[in-house]
Amino acid sequence: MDRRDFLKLTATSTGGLLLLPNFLTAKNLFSFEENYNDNVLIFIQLNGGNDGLNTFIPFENALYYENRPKIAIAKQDVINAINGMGFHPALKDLASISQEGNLSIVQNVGYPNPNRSHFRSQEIWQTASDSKKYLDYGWLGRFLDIQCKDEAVASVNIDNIDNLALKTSAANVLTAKNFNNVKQNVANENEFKLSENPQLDFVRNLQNASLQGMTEISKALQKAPNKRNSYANNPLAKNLEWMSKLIKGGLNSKIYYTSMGGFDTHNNQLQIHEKQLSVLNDAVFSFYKDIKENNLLSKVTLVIFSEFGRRVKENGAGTDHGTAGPMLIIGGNNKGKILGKNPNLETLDNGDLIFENDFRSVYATLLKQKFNFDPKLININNQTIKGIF
Amino acid sequence: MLIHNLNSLRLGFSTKQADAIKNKGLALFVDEQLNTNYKVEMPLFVAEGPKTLKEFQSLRKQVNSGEKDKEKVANEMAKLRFEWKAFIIKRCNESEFPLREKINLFFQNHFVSTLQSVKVPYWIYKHYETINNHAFGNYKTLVKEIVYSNAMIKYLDNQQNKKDNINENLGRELLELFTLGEGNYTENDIKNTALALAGLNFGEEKGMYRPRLKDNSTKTVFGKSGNFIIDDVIDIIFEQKNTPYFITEKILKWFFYDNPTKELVLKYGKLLKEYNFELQPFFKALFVEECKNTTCGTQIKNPLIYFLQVHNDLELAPNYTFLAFILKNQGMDIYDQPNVKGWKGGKDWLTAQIYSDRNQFIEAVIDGNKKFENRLNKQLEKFNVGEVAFNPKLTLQNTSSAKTILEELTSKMIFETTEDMKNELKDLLKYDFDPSSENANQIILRVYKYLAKCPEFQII
Repeated sequence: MDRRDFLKLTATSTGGLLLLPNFLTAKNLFSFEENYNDNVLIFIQLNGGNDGLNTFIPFENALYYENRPKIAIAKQDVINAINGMGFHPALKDLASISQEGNLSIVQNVGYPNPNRSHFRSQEIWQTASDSKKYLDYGWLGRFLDIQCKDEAVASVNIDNIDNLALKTSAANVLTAKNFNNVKQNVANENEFKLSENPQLDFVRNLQNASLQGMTEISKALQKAPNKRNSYANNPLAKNLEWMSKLIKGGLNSKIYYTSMGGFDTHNNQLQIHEKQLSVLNDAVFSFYKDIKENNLLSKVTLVIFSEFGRRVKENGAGTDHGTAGPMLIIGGNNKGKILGKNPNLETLDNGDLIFENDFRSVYATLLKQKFNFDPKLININNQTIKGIF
Repeated sequence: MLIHNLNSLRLGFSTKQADAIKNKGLALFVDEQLNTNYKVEMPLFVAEGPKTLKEFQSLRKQVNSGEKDKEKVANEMAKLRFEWKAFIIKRCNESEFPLREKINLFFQNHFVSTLQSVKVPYWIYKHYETINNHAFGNYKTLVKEIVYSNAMIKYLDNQQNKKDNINENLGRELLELFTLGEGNYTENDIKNTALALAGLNFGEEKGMYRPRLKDNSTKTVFGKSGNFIIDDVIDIIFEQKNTPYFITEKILKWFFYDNPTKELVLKYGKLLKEYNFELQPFFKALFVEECKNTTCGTQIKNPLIYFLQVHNDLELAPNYTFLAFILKNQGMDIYDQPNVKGWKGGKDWLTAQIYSDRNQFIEAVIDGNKKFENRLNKQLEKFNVGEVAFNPKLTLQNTSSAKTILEELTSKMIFETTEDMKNELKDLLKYDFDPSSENANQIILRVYKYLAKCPEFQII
């Protein structure tokens, strides 16, 4: 199905104009670019294996404190209790998003035969393969190949390296560290001296301009409204800010992707995890405010995940690689619920949590409910999870 | 970058000679490359095509009279041109002595004659053969032979240079582009050189003076007078000061540095003069000495080296007509430079578009980009390119861990790694990557893709 047909389909599925969703007030109808009506998925991949148990905390479960005498988060520090679970204090703003009803959490997300190698487990999440199977293309790549192969920029990855999740055979996926050079120019040589080597500077200056899709990116950045919401001062926030600009500027990309490292907390977990979660919290909250203010919250779905959680029992001042963990979903008209049971700290698999929800069901849900796309077309055969959207 | 890989690129078109250089040592390697009796056999498609202007003109007559189909002939001629380009590229890639081909190509880019303009394939073949046969003789002789070549006479219109109707084109370019460079001669020198060239017209295997068109007056060049023919003028040109330095600078730019220092030009220019313009000892001294220099990152990689290097690294089966097409797109149309100045090289080799096209190629080869393949096949349909299939295979010596893989690839591919790059590579190929896993090859190819798209890979 090409994009034009797809658009027509969504237009007719809103069930007539009698019941206007609240974002389509008369005022907003005229201030939007036509492209705002498209759904956008944003993925934040937390690299290293984020410790789910210290992120969304089973603070009423005694086993939590028994297994983590040193690194458990104290009961009085846990915030926003929901059904025996609460947030790490660094996530104070995500907790408030949860209170507003705009944050869903899918608990115990993992997959059968879990792999505890960063490299391999990331691969599994990115290709949506079985634990023992190897697929060449990313799950989003395969989706875009069918849905968006004619787009100039089907997907934007703001990162230093390509992401396997987006690896595609036909669609145009753009990876860039930032778009600092783009707004002013598409090919402006000699903009700034980067190194001692003039040949290298010359080529580096060309690099950004040489990316496929830069014209569209440039157009979108120029169209984006100048009013700048204030964003937290960290790299993840900057990446999300670029995404917000591109969305507001009407770029046709359906998928945005970025990542954040530092979650492999084998040592000094309390300090490091708190720092990383603060960065995540501040960045996501800045983005959330921006998107909400511009009435885009229902169209933008933000998904946060990691390649695995960490072991229940602590190891020294940190934790080892584990298995299942929570997935966070913000925006996209989600119902703001906590899905799945609280982590079972009693029945473990070799000391690790046993997953309850296959990550591919979450993928299936996103594809079906945000894009009306049949996940079976890209070999994701899991059932969708009811109750997220 | 490992010095042997660096020198393999300097002295050829890929890193495939690195081992030979390492094992034999530089001096012996250069010696072998420069000492063979290296010939250029006439390819079949040239033998079968028109060999003289008369044959070519009669072909045109046949087209104009309707005897032969215009479009068919035009297509055949275009096909011939691409066959020649493919022939050259094949030699560069498959010759046992790539240094010879690189030197030949240097001189072809210096004494430019193009397929488009010369038209007669046999003349182009002779042009290349002349270069090949004199590239290690005396440079003065090479200049004389090239000026007498039918291709050059045609390319610079000297067949229209007659004693009653002087055409200065060849004369001017001889001084400005082939020997001395701007500012080292006067307009009078040009005029008189053109006079000396008057009447030099096409011949069977090479040009010859037509007595009725030749000028027999006294010419004065650089202060010397006489009834000169062009050989005499060239002798006088070689007595001028700048002659050795002009060509030396271009040689340094082609093989080593986009911006050679004045000192270096002086050093080797003097050497060329000391050798009395004998090219073989000059080249040997130049290569053995300059290849000791471990400084890299000095030269933007031309498209031919880029694509042959990638083909070799990934063991791609080369389709030479396809390569000719790609090189044309990349601004290096073999034997069809845009004008007599030739390919300027350096920063001219790279624009945002060219860089983007290189990246697309890499992605298509490694990821299998169907869209790119389809677009390519469409564009190539009429050129009868034949099958183009990409089956990349990367053979490394040490695949025991992520660390060894990264070390081997970076030392083979790029001239320096920044901190950022090191971190990004570690992200791309994490420490717990399992080299024995089923898809390990695919993953290593992704690292190659990352490196090949880096700015650093665009530079030698």
